[in-house]
Amino acid sequence: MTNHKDLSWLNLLLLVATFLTLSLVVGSAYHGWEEDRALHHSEPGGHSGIIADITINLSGIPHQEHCLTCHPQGRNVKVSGRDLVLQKGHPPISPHSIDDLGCTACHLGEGMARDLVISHGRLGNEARKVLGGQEMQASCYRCHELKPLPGAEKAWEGFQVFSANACDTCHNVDGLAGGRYGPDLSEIGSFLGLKQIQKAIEDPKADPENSIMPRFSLSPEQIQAIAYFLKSRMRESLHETPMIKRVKMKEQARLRERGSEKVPDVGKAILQEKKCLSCHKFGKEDGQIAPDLTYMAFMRGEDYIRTFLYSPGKEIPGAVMPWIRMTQEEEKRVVRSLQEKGREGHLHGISAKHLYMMHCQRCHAAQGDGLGTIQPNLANFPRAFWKNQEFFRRIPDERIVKSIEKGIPGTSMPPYGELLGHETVDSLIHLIFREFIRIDRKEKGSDLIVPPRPAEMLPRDKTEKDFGKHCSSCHGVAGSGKGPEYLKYLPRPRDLTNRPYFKSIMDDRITLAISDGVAGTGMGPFRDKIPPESIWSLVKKIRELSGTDGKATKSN
Amino acid sequence: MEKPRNQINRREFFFKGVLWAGLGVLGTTLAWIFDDLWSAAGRFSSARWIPVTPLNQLPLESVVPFPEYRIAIFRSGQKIGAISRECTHLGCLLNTVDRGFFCPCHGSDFGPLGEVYSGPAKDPLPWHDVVHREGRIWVHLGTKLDQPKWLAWEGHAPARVKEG
Repeated sequence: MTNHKDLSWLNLLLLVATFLTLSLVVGSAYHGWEEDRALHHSEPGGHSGIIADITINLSGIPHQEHCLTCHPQGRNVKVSGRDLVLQKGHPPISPHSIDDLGCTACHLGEGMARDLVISHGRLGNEARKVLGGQEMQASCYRCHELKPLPGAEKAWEGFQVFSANACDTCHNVDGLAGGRYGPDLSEIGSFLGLKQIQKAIEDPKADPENSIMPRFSLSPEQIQAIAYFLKSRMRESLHETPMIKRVKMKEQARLRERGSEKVPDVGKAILQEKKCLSCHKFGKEDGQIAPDLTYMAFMRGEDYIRTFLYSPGKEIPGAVMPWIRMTQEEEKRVVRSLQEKGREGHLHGISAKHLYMMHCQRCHAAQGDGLGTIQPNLANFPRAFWKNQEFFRRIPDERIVKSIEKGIPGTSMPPYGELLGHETVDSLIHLIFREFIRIDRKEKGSDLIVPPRPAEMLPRDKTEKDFGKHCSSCHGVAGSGKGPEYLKYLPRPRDLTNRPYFKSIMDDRITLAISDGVAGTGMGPFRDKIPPESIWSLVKKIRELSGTDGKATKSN
Repeated sequence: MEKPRNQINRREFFFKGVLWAGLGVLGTTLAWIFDDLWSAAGRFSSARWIPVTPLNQLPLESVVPFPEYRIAIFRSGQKIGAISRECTHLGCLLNTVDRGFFCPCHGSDFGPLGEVYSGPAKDPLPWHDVVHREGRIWVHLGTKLDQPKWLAWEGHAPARVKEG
């Protein structure tokens, strides 16, 4: 039936090959073991091996390492050719001793590696990179309690800076009862090296690009100090069992919460206590990260402030402000402190230029390009004035006035009308047109024609298809404004689920934005790409996404 | 004399009694050791039922986060479900935001029921098994379900709570 040759000899061949491979594996393993034994072996007679293994006991667990082979008595060593040149000796570390702690407990590195790169921990994110010199203090608080410690001044300062700059409002560190808004840093030292931690604080948006962490105004020394402190937050505990660690954590958390009751109830002490001013501006104090709160309570009203404190994302979807843990009493005091400044406290009769510097510049920038100091931390891009003539030619003057006087719901733009008064707002708009937009305020383009509203909307599946084809790459499948390409655009794509924003604008305006695009943003015109009924169906879809279908209340 | 079938003599009774008593003691001891080991093992693993919260602390319409267990509990009227709050990308703890969940590490966005809105995460959030016993909600952190397992329950209106 078959003409195949007899291949049974292959079986034998495979058997031999398997045997050979096996013996190779066993042979090399044996060779390695032999070599290891020869290197380590110290005979009872006194002859010691080349590699000096030491075993130390850290919290009941034996740790083995052989760092002392190249670093006798912990001395510094320089490699020159094939020789090791001994450098200066290990500084005195009493009351610690190498016999008790070994090397890697403080210096990190991989104690049992036999490779220069691996043993010095220069792999991956350098989480185990060997520490030396000044950097040694990054290890002190791995075992010692968090209180001032001679020799670890920098690391202690780092802890102070960490607390003072409200890092713990977002980041949890075990034992310090931090917030849960940002990534947990309790074990960050086991994942990142000193340099990596510094880089992440210096420029948070470098990696990942969509990080919501603001860039804090810290000096390089302060950042280094924070890195020393954070590096000591490691998973491996050297002196306490997990249970003891847990008990201590709870105790510290309780102490911390009790501590906050002692704040005197005067002026803005509560704003400092709750660390509002680490990010926000109030009066002369400025965190340079978040909006100016000096007149915020006056402009927004108490109800808004209270709702916002309870759930920032409800009033301004996408706001990066975390929820702050507060008792009702504390909340009342925060609101009262914010209400301290009203219209009476505001300077009268100052020039439009100074007003712009006082109120607008923080977000819209001194150049008027919208890239103000706090722009990266805002949920929505502040409107650019500079070189944005097209946009301002298109929108009616009343809308500009209204945006300033009534604010823009769902964004960080507060209503300035009551604070500044109609005339002042008018002069401000004049200034913006004169200095930044550089066109006459009355110069408007021809009116855009709203595509005719169809009698009947397209079926749902057709609209979904349109949305998937034209919108979701930027606005995202769920309309959250975070499609796969959203980082390519600044201003970022509009969050279509922004309820307060869409509640405040009429269907016509959404339709025009789709059909003719929005000048100065990544939103292009779709008038020629899709028919009017599709545009109107998409408007309906946006109404559904933002939960504002059927009741566009006020026009803007 | 022929011994009746159901009768045993004193000696036999004594030995059998000792035997059974011994077996009983041994069995009880083993069961006790096993139970101790079992509960100890459970304490250090996630594969056990955890009493998360008393039912009357759950607001009627709410998503209550429990960061210590890395879950959030949904309550919609008389329906209760438990969703994992661990990002399916690299396992960071997610923030509970108004329209779902947000990962602070790499910015993944999840919808209110754990569906992926935007990456880098690719998989939706898993759900946990949930039961109601003795006025408490118990969650089994070891089970991961693709579909929510809703627990229907008749309860009374509770107080407002917020994430700690």
